[in-house]
Amino acid sequence: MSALDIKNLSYIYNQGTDLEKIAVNNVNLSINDGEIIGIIGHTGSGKSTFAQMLSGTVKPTAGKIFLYGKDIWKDYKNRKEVYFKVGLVFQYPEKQLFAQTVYEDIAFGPKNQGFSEGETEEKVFEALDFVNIDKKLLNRSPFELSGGEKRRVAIAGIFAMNPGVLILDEPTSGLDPISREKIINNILSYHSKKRGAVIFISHFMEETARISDRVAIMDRGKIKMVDTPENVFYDYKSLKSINLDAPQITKIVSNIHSKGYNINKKIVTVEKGTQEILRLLRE
Amino acid sequence: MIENVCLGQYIPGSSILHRLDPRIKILSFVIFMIISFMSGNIFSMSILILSVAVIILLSGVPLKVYFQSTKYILFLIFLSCVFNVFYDYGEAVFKFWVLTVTLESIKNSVIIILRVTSLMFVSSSVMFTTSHSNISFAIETFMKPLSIFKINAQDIATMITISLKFVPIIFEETNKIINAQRSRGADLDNKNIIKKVKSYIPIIFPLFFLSFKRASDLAVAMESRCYNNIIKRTSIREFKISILDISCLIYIIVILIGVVYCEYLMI
Repeated sequence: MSALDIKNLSYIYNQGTDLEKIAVNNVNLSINDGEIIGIIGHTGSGKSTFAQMLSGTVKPTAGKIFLYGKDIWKDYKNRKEVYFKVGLVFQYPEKQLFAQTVYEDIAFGPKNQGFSEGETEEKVFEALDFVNIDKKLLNRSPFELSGGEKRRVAIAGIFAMNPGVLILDEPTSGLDPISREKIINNILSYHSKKRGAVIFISHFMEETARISDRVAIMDRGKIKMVDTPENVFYDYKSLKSINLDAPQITKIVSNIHSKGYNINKKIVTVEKGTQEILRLLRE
Repeated sequence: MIENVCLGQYIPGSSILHRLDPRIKILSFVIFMIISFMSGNIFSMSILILSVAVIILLSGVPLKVYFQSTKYILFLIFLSCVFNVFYDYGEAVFKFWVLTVTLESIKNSVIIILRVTSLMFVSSSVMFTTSHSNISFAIETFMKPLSIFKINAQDIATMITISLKFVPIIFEETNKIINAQRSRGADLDNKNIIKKVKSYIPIIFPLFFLSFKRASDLAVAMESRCYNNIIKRTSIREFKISILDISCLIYIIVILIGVVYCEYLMI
């Protein structure tokens, strides 16, 4: 069964006024349990609004969202049930840190879910493992941490709630390459243990290509294409028309291909690209 | 953002009110305050309401937006006036248990509602149609005489501009944080007042932190661009009083005279 079924979903800002703006336009998408789906799109393409609708924090103007087959605005009497099943890591999640210690901040979610002290502690430690944060930091104030650590603590706050569907809205934006890499690995280690669906929103093509099973392209509120990263990225020239790009390695193999060499164009990761270029060199 | 217009937000446009000199607008508003508190009988009240209607019409902002941005304050005013009705003085119209409603108290309540609502609407019309930098320019002009008391008008005008600019930003930020904490299960709709106050800590705290951080970032940014109050700054816009401005002043003075006539001279 699919984790999320999105049917004719739309969101219109300022409906009925001069400033009317369609943020999400009639989107249909089905997200399977256990898959990582990447959503790419340039700034203002409606990605964030889309994510907030999926998590139930924003009510759609039109359309329906089915979470494990249940309409989230009809079948769930309590909003919290939806929040606990769908974890949304907002853009710049470190802005929502508030507690006096890192521990308390990560424990906020599980405590609200109604877990006992002992269970909460277990969940906090598990979440810490996923994000690779030293246990020594637990009693420090979250405001003393570095930017990357703050981001990971905030993400751990969502991991600790153990949501079936995890949505991350540009979790790596504004960070240095090492911190970005760490966050990607954190997400992968969470997913490899917990499974569930992961929706990864980003405008970094490299990382989206690396972790996603499928990639959806969003442009002006619409989903233009949903396919495997290889199929989405190999035709990178048409991506440029909607202000998107492909990973560097895809462009390299594509250029080699267009020079008349027998190389696979559909490559999105550096590992596969290296293998393919080495194979070509050996021939 | 129309659906979330907050108090004091600027709405860009090119209506007659938008084109007025900010100094004239603020001066007229001060005169209008006097007018609204002077008017107390049926004739002066109708002049007041009519003049507010004209101002709203000239601002080019729909009436709906006025109601939306002032709805909470209007509700408070309405509530306090409802209590005022039961304030016992003068001739009783009817009695109910311990409550007595008098003709005077009803009249007073209606007058207060009309006065404060028209004040709110006219001040909103000034805020809707004047950009923050223009407001600060006007404030600066009016505060210049204070320099004999060693008060720097420019500094105060800058502070006011920055505070006004921060209002919608903080408003938006609050909404984001509320959504984020809500999705972590924060219990914001609790009926118990103590629990409710407690549940707002995860929202207030980051908000304070971010506001202070933003303010200090801005201070550093201004300082690194050599902002100081030693040099005399000039404005990119030179405001000249136009015929439009003069007609606005005449309009407001005619209303003033009309209200004064209705209140004190008419028998």
